[in-house]
Amino acid sequence: MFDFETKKQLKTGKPAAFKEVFRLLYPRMRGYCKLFIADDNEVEDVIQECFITLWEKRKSINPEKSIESFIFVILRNRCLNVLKSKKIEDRKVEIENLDVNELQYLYQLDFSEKEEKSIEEMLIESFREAVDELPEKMKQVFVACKIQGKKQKEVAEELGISVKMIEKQISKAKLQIRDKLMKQYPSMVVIILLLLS
Amino acid sequence: MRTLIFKYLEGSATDSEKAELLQWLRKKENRIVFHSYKLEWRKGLKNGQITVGGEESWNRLQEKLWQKSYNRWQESLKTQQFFRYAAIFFFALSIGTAVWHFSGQSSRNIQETTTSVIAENGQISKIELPDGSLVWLNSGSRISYNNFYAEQNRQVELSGEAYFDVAKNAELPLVVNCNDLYVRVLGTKFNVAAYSWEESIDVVLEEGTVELVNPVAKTTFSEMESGQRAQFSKENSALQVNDVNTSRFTAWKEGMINIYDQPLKDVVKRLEIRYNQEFIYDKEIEDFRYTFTIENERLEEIIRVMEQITPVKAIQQNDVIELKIDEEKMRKVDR
Repeated sequence: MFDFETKKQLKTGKPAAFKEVFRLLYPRMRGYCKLFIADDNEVEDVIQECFITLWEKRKSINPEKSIESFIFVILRNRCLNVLKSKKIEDRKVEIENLDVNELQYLYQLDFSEKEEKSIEEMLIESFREAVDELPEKMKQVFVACKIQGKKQKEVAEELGISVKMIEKQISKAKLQIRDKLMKQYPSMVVIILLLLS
Repeated sequence: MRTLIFKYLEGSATDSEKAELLQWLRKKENRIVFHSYKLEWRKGLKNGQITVGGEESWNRLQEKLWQKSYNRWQESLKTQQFFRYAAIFFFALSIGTAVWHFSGQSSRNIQETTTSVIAENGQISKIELPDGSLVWLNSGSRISYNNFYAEQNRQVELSGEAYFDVAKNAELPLVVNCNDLYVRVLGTKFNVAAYSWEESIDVVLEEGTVELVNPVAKTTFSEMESGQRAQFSKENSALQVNDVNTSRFTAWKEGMINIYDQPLKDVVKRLEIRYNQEFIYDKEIEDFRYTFTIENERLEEIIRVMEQITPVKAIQQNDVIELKIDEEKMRKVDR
């Protein structure tokens, strides 16, 4: 969608090229975010962050490759992060199956020209990994309470520990999962940049 | 489909329209068409026009980016400032280190050398020391200091007599080493007579204060006040302090010699060094005492005076003057 010249100008930091990218991609990026994030302000923040990242990483742009797929990876990861931090606060974390929003494939085809993993699948996968890496006891408590959705009191009786201990284990687990989930993002950016350059 | 695609690109397509577009786009052959519609849409946009709602977002983005670069600029200013201060700090540190290093090195590597100034018999020397202090060196006297004088020390060794006009330096006291006595001062005018043959070291203070220090114990014997004369006995370290008219003891630097109640043997020494004349004298007359002042008198005149006030007789023998008791006069006195 963007010609070689525009991409080269963006790479060298021409504001006009940056504005061109923004005005052509903004509506669709917004549409994509709205599939997962209901709050308009949150959507707006995600998009702003994406463009700031694009601007800051402009030097790593390869003018021979698509800017849309470059920014789409950033956008998808931003959305994923928002969902992750929301998910971890949910009373019950659904990691068996989530309803996949079909419409995201339209954006995938548009931006990356191919259908990829859905954001929901990525979310479940990374959650599963993070939960798997918890220490045994912590994992037991977390799975029982947050994934199976059992009451804390029930779990406390089952495992023969106090409710206070359960709370402590869950908050510790949450911290560890959050840590793991959010750490994935920066490493991904590096990989993306390597792939695109 | 064209309208639908345009609506999608503008962000105004409904969910069902999007679903329809997805179905259509899943067919590979449609993707090229989709791409050409995208380009057409782009061409149709007015230059710089931003879709509805995007304008506000764009402005906010501009603001954020500006804020970010401003913050970064501020950061860099702070870093610059930090480095500036760091640079100053390290510069000062390196100078300090260099000074320490070189001064340390100087004491390690530079050999200590001693400078000596000698006033021959018959001469009076005036010396300016490296720190600006002035020294009048009486005939037959020697003063020595090393090459670290005024940098690391202000020590002078004195044998004989010298008058000091010491430049002020509160950090580095000037110490006159007379072997049996140290005279320690910060800045003042005083006279030290430390002739090796004399029984006492004589310090006369004209201005300020001086400390008399025991060279072994490094303790202070006495602090003198201006106008005082201290006589330090080399034999028993006894100290005698009295008020005097200081000019009598410092006048020698103007060429005057004050002999005040001194035995003949000391007077003779003084004369020897002042006039560069060798004397010999009989043991029985060595304790005759004299008090007189010599200004520019010739030696013959002084000897005549001595012959007048005491029963002595001077006989020139080659280069030496022999002082003998004058039997004739003694007989007269006896009578």
